[in-house]
Amino acid sequence: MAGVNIQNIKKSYGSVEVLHGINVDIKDGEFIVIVGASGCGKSTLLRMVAGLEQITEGDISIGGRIVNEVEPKDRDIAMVFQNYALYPHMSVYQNMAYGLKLMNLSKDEIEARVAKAADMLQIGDYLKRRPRELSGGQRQRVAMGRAIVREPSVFLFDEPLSNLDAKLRVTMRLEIRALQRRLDVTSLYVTHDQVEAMTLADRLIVLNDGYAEQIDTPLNIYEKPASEFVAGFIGSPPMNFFTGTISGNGKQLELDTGSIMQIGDYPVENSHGRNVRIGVRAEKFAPCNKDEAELVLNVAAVETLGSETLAHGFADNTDSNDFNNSIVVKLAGDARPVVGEVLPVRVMPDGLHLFDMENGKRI
Amino acid sequence: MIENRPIVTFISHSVIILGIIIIAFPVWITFVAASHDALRMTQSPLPLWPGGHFFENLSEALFVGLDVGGASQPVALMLLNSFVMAMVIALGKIAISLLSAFAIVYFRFPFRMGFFWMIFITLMLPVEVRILPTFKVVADLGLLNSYAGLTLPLIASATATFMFRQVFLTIPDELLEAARIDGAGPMRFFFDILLPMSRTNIAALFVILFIFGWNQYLWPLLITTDQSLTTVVMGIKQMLEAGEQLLQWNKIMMTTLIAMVPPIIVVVSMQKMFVKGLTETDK
Repeated sequence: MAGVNIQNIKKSYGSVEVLHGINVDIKDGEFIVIVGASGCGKSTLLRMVAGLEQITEGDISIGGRIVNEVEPKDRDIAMVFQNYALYPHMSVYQNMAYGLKLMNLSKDEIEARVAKAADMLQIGDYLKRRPRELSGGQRQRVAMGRAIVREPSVFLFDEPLSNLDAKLRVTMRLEIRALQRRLDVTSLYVTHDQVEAMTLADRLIVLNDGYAEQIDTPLNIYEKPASEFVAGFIGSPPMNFFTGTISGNGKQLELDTGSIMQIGDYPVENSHGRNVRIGVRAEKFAPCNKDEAELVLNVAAVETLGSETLAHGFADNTDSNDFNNSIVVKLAGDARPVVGEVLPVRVMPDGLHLFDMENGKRI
Repeated sequence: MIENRPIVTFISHSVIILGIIIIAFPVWITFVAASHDALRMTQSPLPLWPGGHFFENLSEALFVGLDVGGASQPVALMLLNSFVMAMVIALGKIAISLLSAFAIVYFRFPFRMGFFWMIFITLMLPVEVRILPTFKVVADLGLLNSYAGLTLPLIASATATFMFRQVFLTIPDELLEAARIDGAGPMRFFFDILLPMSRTNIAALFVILFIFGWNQYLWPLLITTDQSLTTVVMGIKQMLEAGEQLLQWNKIMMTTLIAMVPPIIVVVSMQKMFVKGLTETDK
């Protein structure tokens, strides 16, 4: 058991810097999910912890020991790869036992560990099979089994579920979470899937372009995103953004489209006249009467999901062809808006997020 | 192609049968000739059906040999020489190419691509082209009339190196990384992961290289003057240099027949792996 400390980690390929100084202290037994768009450096960070990638600058310590120059096998870690990376010519048993054999464990010890892990993952029935004779979910389990038998201090997961179908992904997600709780092993998990990120993590690291935008619990990140990027990245459907100016002595927002929103008790002092980015989540819009509406949408598309209905539209005087700039409102599952209909909405009291115009930071 | 017209079937079968006859007839004649006595083979017309001396010729050729020209060794010894040469060449080529492909694909060292291209360029320099300098080198090293001299110069192989390089490139990097985390060093990774994964390719290459080695003619002819190192292919040629004596066609043909057997055994027994190794791309 050990925590992981990542201190001012930088990574450059030649003259291109891809990680610009990441700091995070991971406590023993914590489940940390690193999330970000592809190419943001999240896998690189994980691979640096694993020892598969050279550290350009900074220190990584596992259990208080700086491991910058330590070989992967001696870092007391285990890793699950996206494509499982099972040895195709070995049986499931051999796959799991290989690392243990190289640790010079006794045969009995190896057998006991593999049996225990196989039992935990319910793969005891196909220990003799080759990976190619297994389904995707089973291979995934074997890959996890191979990690578990090492009894490491830290688990590293590199998008382990992205090759599975949607249904299996949900089950495996729950299993991984339960397993991690049971084993109580510090885990780092890389994903681009925000549902995985939100559901698995004790704490989330949101990476953007090599910067850690925010490191916090999933709920805090959802409710108080530290920057416009985080706000737009976490949450589905993505947050709606507007540009506007604070007016009315910090009591109102004047949108560029002309609409007026009430700021309520959002803490903005002395900000009259300041240009801001305004974010509102789809579920924080409430339909209302036309006379108390803060925004009037012309509905341009409707997505009926059963449990909820998403209405995509445009504020009445904006161009209504570009769905990149559409506003999405989440309605109850039984709501039946019609394309072309006018939908007046207002922002719920706690639904507002304001971000600085220049640096995107939360105000 | 699914076609159900009798005339097409007739023509295509005729072509196949004709082809088989063209290829098989000489082999049949060899077999027939090997089963008569020497006297019958000097008479005209040549026999088309087997005679009764097959086993007699077989044992005599194998264990006594022909007392003609330069070939006075029993064929069994020549077989052994050919076998050793073909095996050493095939296994040596595979071992060297596996290691050099391993180095080129998995290690970062200065001029890596330079070395790769150097190896690749030797494709243009088969033994026949560099025969004089190679002979000089082998002679200076004192390797004339030895198994080492017979095999060493033929062992370096750009084709095999290139093929293994391609095989290794299809193996995902994650496998190497997983092995590193499992604690496998480079050589362990090579023996535990790469080698078993290239099994079918190695088998396919072995078949090709064994036959290549078995059929060597020019090089052994140059490098050996010692009768005890004669290979079968050379032996057949020497049997034909009978000078004043009567050519013993029955035994020459018997030797030819014997020389055909080992490559056939190799091809037939490894046929399945051979096809897999050349066609399988899924890792």
